[in-house]
Amino acid sequence: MPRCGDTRAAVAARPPASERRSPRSWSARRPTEPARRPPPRPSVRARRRVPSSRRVSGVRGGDLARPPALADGYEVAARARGGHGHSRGRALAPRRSTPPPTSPSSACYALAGFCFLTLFEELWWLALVAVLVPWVDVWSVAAGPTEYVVEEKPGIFEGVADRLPEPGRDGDREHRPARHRVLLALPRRRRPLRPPRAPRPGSG
Amino acid sequence: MSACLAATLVLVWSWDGIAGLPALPAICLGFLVPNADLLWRDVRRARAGSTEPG
Repeated sequence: MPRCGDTRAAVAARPPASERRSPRSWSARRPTEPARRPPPRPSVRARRRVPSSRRVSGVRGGDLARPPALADGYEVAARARGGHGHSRGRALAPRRSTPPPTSPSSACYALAGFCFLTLFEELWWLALVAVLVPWVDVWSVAAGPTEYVVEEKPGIFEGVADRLPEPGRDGDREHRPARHRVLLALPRRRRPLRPPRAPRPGSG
Repeated sequence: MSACLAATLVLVWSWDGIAGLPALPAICLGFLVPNADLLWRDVRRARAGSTEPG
């Protein structure tokens, strides 16, 4: 075994020029060593034997050892869309800079919506709401909070309704909020789609 | 439901002495009337299940 710095031993251990290849490939593997091939892909039957809980990532053993619950959801979703064991570059690619299409907040909203929806799986719950709500609304309009707001505190409705122009009212442009005027002015400041035509010479 | 809500609006516009009417009764009526047969079938099924022995 040549020692470090022993040039004569290193030259003696060097293969002849006929077997010599580029320095990069020679340093990577010996010329007598057979070329390494990737391990054969397991058959479909062998892959079916893998429990479904560990088949989420579907790649090498290092990733299989990681629990799917702790894995990056975006990465797992990318593999589930079509990545398999031999697309290692894709499976182990770093995260994209763009955010995933679903955010945790929207997922929470959807979950809350589904939890609320379970209350109305039975027709009787919906019918009960449809029977009770009209009486509550009648009481609210006749002597409840709606009547109080309409009669005593009309400013609450006016604060909301001020954003919409009252039909048949003239001169309400001065009473609109500033942001309403800005929104109305935006289309007027838009760039024209085509430049104005030059007048024809014969048209006068 | 839309027709019942429209009827409520027509009533508000046609009656002079009324400033407003509750809108939800008409909407709920528009839900309950088309589904009355399903509700009645469910009531009969519940009664039959409760009267069966065991």
